[in-house]
Amino acid sequence: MIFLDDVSYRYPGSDRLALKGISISFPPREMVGVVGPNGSGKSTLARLCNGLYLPTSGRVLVDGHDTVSRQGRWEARRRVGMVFQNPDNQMVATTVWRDVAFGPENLGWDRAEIRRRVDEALELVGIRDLASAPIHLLTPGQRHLVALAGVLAMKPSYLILDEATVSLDADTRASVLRMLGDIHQQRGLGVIIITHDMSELALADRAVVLDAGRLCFDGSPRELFRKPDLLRSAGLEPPPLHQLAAELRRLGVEVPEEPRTIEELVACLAR
Amino acid sequence: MMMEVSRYVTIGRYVPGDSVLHRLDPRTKLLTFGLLVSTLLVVKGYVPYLLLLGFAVVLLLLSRIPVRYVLAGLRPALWVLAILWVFQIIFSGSSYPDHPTLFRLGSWRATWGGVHAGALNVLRISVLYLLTSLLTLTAGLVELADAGEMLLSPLARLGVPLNEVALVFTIALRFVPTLAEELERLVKAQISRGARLDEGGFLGRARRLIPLVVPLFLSIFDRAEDLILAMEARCYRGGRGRSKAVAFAFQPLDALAAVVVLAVVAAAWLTGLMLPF
Repeated sequence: MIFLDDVSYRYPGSDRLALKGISISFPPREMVGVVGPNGSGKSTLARLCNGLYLPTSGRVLVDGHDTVSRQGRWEARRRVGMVFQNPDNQMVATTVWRDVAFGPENLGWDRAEIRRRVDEALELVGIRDLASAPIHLLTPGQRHLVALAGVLAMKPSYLILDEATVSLDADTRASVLRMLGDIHQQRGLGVIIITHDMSELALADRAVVLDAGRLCFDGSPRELFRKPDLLRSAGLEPPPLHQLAAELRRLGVEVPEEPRTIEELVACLAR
Repeated sequence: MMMEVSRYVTIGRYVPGDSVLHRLDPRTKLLTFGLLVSTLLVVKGYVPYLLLLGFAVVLLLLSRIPVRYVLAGLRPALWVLAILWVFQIIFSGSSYPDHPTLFRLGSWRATWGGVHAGALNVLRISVLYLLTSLLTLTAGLVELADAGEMLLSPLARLGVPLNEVALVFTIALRFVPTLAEELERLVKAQISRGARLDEGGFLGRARRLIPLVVPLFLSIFDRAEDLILAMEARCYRGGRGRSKAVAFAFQPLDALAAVVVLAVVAAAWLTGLMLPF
């Protein structure tokens, strides 16, 4: 469990709190979407969860380890994997295999173990055949998968995607999210998706909305989509699919209130 | 224009392959390379140099790397070598006071001694170029960094941050193509706005590089900050407690290579001592 207890955070040199008294917990094996407009503090929240930032006040506990101590941070980072926005700036090695092995090397595993975990992670994200490819010849989509594999190879209990999919094209993003959903289901990996794109919430069990450093919603995505006013005041838009469904209903067409996929909506209309 | 330069440099360009040379342990490559180069620098004479040149050519053939590819890299250096030779002929007269004068150029005196010394230097640099090309063409730079780290590992016990240095080296290599791409983008952005980067005198050209260099450096700092966060998130905390995902193992082939190189080096030393010309 990642547990934030009345956490506030102020960036060094800033006179404004980026996060104001947040108390929230992320239990294991949950898929959560954290949404909010730019500057709402959602990335700050993510970086508090693995001790990259330390709370100005309050506590952050990861499976009971307080990130305030060096040892606690180490334990937190082992458990909470994190993928950032630009995969180019996350890679340290010149080939795929060596880059994915970087995290396991830091954990001090022996060679056989590293080999097994790296191969497994590459298999899991479907880029086993790229193992010896040089990083700079990969497509942006493939680079994202390498960044993801590099974190999965460390066997984290939680995975945080810090706007990791925003720069991907729609198809690649959908397939990456689907793959994450599968890994989440099969391995019981806790996934926290930080995003400003509401459609990434489709697969989440839980939605959290941040606005100006405050927690303003914590519940199911369905519930959230029923509150367009809350969304609008936080500068967010419901996903296009929901907007379309709402518009159709307003015109008197009978469609479900929260279609999960475009196919579901199409099937309804065809009936 | 400026992006094309890298195309003509063969040093530092790994060509993957499966030749005898490629299969050697990178530590063997590094050690034998060091041995050959130090021999080249210490020993002097046509016979040992030609011997080493011959050996380098044999290695080149063994590596199955197209000879033309390696020589293409030497071509731009030929002018430099020629100028070097001419300089040595003209300016070295005072080192050979008892040699007869070939011709005079002002107060300078060309001698056969200078011709020979120049020829030896040209030969030495050519062999050095060939050996360095061979090393970097048959071994990836990261592999060599790993090998260097392993060879120097006794120093780590004395507190030398070898693991960190090897990682810094790898990261630097990793970002070369990224920054080259970035620079290319900046060049295109400037040209598309009418900048003329390749015109004007030296100073003018240098001044026009400022709008390229400043954003490039800003981007480097941004990337470095991102990289630090990402490395920390992946549990990096310095070399302490890190393991290595790769290991090298010496094979019989490495012993053979060591024996052959030692024989060549010994032959070069002996001929250098016994045939002093």
